[in-house]
Amino acid sequence: MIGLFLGTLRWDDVTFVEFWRTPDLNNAIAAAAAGLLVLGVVATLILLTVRGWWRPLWRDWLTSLDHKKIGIMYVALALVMFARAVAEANVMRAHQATAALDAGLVAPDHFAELFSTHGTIMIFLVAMPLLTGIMNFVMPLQIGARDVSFPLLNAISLMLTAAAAGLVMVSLVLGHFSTGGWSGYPPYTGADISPGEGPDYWIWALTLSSIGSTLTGMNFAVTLYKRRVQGMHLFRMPLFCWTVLCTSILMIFAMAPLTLATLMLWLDRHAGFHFFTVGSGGDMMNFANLFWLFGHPEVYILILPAFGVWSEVFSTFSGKRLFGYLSLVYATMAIAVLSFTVWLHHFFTMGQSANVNAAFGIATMLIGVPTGVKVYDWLLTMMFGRVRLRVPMLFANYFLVTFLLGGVTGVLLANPTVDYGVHNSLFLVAHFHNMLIPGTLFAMLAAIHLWFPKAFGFRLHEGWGRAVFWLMAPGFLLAFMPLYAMGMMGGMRRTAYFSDPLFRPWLWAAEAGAVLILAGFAALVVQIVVSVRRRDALAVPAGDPWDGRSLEWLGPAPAFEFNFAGEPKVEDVDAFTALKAQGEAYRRQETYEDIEMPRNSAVPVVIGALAGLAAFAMVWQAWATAALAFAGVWAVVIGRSFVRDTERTIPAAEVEAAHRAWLADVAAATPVHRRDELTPENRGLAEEPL
Amino acid sequence: MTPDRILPTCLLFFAVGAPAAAQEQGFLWAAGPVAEAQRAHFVSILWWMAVVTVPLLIGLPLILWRYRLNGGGGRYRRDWGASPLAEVAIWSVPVVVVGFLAWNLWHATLSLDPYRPLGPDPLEVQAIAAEGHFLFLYPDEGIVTVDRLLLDADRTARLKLTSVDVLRSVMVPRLAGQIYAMPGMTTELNLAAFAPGTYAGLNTQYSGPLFPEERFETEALPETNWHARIEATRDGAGPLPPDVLQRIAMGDGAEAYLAADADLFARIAAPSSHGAHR
Amino acid sequence: MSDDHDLPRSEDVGEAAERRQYIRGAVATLALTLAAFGLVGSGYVSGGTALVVLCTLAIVQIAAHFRFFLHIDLARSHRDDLQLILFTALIVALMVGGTVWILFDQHTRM
Ligand code: HEM
Ligand SMILES: [Cu+2]
Ligand SMILES: [Cu+2]
Repeated sequence: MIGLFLGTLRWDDVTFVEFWRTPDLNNAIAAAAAGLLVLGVVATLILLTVRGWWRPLWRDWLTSLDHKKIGIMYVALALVMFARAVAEANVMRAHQATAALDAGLVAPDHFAELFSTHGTIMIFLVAMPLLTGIMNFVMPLQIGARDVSFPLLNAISLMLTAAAAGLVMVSLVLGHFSTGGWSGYPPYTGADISPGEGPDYWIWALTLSSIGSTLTGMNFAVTLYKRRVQGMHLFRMPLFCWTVLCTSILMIFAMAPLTLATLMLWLDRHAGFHFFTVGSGGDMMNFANLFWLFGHPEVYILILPAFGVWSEVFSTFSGKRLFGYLSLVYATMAIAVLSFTVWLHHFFTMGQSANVNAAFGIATMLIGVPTGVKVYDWLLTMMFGRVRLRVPMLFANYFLVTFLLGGVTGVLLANPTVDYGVHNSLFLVAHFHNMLIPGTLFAMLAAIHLWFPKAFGFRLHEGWGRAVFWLMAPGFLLAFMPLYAMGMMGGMRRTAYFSDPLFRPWLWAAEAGAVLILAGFAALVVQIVVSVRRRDALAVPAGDPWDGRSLEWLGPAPAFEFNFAGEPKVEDVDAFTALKAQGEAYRRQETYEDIEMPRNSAVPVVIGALAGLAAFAMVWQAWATAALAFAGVWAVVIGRSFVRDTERTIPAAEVEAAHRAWLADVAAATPVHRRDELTPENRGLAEEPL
Repeated sequence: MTPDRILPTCLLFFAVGAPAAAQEQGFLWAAGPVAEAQRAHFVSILWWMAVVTVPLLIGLPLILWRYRLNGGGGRYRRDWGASPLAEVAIWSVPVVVVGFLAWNLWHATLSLDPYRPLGPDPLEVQAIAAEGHFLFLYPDEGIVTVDRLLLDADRTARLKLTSVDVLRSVMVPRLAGQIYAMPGMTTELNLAAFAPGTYAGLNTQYSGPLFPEERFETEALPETNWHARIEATRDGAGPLPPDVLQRIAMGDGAEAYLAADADLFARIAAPSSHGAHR
Repeated sequence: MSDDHDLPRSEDVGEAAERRQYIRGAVATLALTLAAFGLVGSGYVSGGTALVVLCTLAIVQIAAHFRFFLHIDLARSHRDDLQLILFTALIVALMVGGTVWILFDQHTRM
């Protein structure tokens, strides 16, 4: 009976008990990680209680359906998960650098767990929430909307993602995560070879997060189609919104094959199915096929929003219109469609005919065309501008250069001839980190620096931001250039130890780089603390700290909860620049109207918690618990559909008061020249352009 | 911008510095026709890509300098957002480059299909990838070697590959590229060496805790030595036990066997031997 | 900032009509599902025939969803909707077509 509710979970599965039984270095590291997690949770709980923050946390954040707050929570979640994943990367690096001299730090299975959690977390619980968060915060503001089309669904997506994060976190303390890498190929992850709970943790974490992402994709695509303010034609949307649109479409189509593949794998493991077992008519190659059917569009999900961010950064910090808007839009669309035609390049070496390989190889290289176009459009955006190397711009230019290398190695890998030699090698690891770190991660850091003032009302401290940059930028080169070299020297990925002494110096260089990146992350944390402390000097209440160009900069910082007092007028791609030029940005309105906003709801939290519990129970084969929790999810969904009173009205008077208070802030601010943008004089009002 | 300088320096360093080291393993130190073709293809792509990358590397620092906010000498045209001429250039140059690269890719890929024999009358070898070890069966010679592939340097070789339990990928980087070895399936890899020598071979696909140990030596011997070696091996070897895989896994396997069991490979590569699931 | 309650006039058919449409849809899709399971379960069709029959039923099922639940029909569909459906068809064709090509090719080589 208890078995139905607890499944296979036993005392021995607790990491601490395991360490108690076998106290070696490997188990000590595992127990320390689990201990850190438990301490972190306890400390957070104590802090919330002592400060009396429970109520505001619940009322203002967890139950909020405001897209801005949901966006911020996504980013916060991503940063927490990043701390773990980057720490894991450092353990792997330290282990490889010291392994072969002696046993290294961790056992081979533990090393495998590390690269599996690192990869899974970085993709699904760092990169995805980061960009989903930024898109959430920025996109509705940029199209002049009050919120996304389905605010409740938006919060549900967030909570499902959080549940996935929770599940991966729990695997630190209870049992073990998969050792099959982020791609989880069977038969290795099948029941015969990996009978434990590991692959199930992986399967259900991916399922939760991919359902969340599918829903997000639908939500954002509908929002972009239906919620644009009057005058905002598709071809007047800021480029970032175009990338959000393409990303959303990719999310809608790409997540399904993943959910399907992991579900089929689960059926193979626990229900006697044979989708991927060769002897019974199954086909393991189809798993690779389905996984990459998702996996390749996924990498474009990761990079397209970054392209959007770079487009905003280059034009904003060059004080100039984006060059080649149409080119960039068409290039983005081309990339989105092409990204569904290339997935085979992840398994060129599986033995199919040369003409199949060649066709997919050429399709892959075709993506190089629109991508190359983008790079030059950004370069020309800076031409004839007034370029200011603020933190986001430092990242942007660094990206431009390192992206060349990533692009070149990408084209190399697109050639089956070359891929036969470097597939599965550290060359590949270097290539994808080359795209993911300067591409996705740095773009999201740039985005945080760019839009932080709009979210919180004050700028981030520039000096510490530069520290983040100057630690991470060389850190990346040091950490990953050696991997290109090692890959070309025959070093393979997922290798727990290299016995070849030739690799030693390279491994130490890579270790040093990993430490620099970790230090960069620490600098980011310091930067946030310092900025909060000095928030008065950094405050930009008038709302436009960077002489912004698109609608999100219209209005105060932090934004009105209803985003805009009235309907902003849009007559140009750079809608806000046009308003400023016509002197209409800071006008008083004649009339104000009541505004309807979604009411808070506990439904998403409850759904997230129950879905997380159901997933956890599935991992431990506690069928009764799983069934109850799953039924609970649907009970809540059905219950919610009977709730009619889901909106709350903000009276016109309140809107008017808020709007006037902002206009007073604007009146009190002195317009600043871009030269003085970093001084306390910058209260968020830009000087009239000459 | 410092990174502009760091990056080319790094590239140069790898290009020049790395080959200086001895006993490398990658395809850049090609010792066979396929690896040599890979190397040449690799380098040709770098040249083609330079057409697109070099202008950016030159243009970026210039533009950053000339159009900087404080003291930059460039003209300020805040509404400059389109230029038909520039657009044509930035679309057409990559199109042309990718066009050539695609042509290149097509021919290289078809001619270097790993299934394609590299010469007449290749040496036939069957490779079984198992946990921690590789078994090489030579059907015509009637022997089996463990973790060592004996090639005749004057002949090309054709490997048939399979794996006992999980997905693996077999490669001898200095001779040719890799191909997956899959349970219940047979794939093919053709190999050849320019000259006698010893070349490292390995599994590249994570397969479990013993993955870093899944390596083998490829010895390419001059023809006469090869025959002598096969003879010697045959003389020194005992018959292949039916439970050879278990024995090797336990660490009490021999270096070579006589292949009395001629269809060991066929048995392992048969899909039906993998249907035992549950 | 349009209000999402107001539908285009063509779709505002009144509650009763809409409910009828949904019920019709539920019946049709349920029947199609049961037919699929029934035909295979009863052993009435098998092998290649089963494949063809099931595919046909699946396509009709998709059409039924579009018609009854998504309110898309040829006569008054909006251009946006049609574009999106065509786009979806394109992507699905790429994914399914590519998969079939790859898997059959692999099948012949190992
Ligand atoms: C921040 C610094 C980072 C360091 C030092 C780092 C380091 C590593 C290392 C050592 C590995 C294992 C390589 C191997 O298999 O031999 C790895 C794998 C991986 N990393 Fe990172 N990484 C970093 C950031 C990222 C980021 C930002 C992402 C994604 C957004 C990412 C995604 C991945 C993925 C997907 C894998 C493959 C996991 C697998 O093999 O299944 N990493 N990384
Ligand atoms: Cu890809
Ligand atoms: Cu196969």
